[in-house]
Amino acid sequence: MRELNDAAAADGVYFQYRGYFSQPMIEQSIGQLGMRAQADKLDSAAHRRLINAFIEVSQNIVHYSCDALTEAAAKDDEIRFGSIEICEAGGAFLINSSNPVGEDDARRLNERLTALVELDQAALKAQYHQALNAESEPQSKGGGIGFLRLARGSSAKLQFSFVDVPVDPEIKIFNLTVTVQKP
Amino acid sequence: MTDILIPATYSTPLVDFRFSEHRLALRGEAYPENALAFFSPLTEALAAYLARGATAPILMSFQLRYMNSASIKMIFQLVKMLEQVSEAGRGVSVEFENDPDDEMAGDFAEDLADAFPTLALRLAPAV
Repeated sequence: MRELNDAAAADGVYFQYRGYFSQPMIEQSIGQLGMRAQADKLDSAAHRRLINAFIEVSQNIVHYSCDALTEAAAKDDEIRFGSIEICEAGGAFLINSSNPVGEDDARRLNERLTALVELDQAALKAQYHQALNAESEPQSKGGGIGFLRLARGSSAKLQFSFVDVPVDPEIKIFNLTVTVQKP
Repeated sequence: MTDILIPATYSTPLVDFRFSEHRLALRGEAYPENALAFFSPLTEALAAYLARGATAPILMSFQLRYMNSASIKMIFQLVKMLEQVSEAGRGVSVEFENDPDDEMAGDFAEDLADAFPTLALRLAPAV
């Protein structure tokens, strides 16, 4: 993934932010990405795919990063740490997001994503429909459909990794890459 | 039953629930930080309205652009409630006004059509 990211960076960084994420920051970034798209005359379907993926990954950071300025139980006005880099490479946007997570969350996410990347589009759709109808999982703030939706919208399989943090063995850095095809 | 009119924000849609006219509309963006907090009062109001058991046909229209997954789930619940009264015999139509190039909102409409095959859903290009 590192090689892919380096190649993408060489091709052009489209958007980059590292720091504390909040709902107002996400809203402003969407406005900013809209201006960029307008200036570049980006195809509007591609722009919308990009923004929908951006919303999902950036709100994941606000909801689940374990580095929070706000209380762990907060559900509103949360501020949590992470990074998002959007690169243009090979006719697609690569949306790379990273945030720290606790060990238990890392294990849960790893299980969920490992199973999910094995699914083809038909199976993703079936699971998505099932999840839409199901009651939400207690720890989920996205109704349990966030990753399914990202996987359905990604033109390549979701890529993910968990990287150890030398100074804190109880924390992993969760990296996720979503690919959004330009036309 | 009081009508609900809530202006749109950057991340929440205009809510125009005219129970008095049996016309309900959501227009704009739907990616609030806490979708449950935003949509729960709407779900409750809709439930109360439907429980009154009027017979006039209901029109629900959506013109949504960006959505987060939690909002999709809440909107799905709203449509499910409408489907239930429709199954019970009340006239219900659901309209999606989408830009033709907005495939994700189009996908959402398709997902709803798959989930609620008996409900009258109509895709209309936005004007």
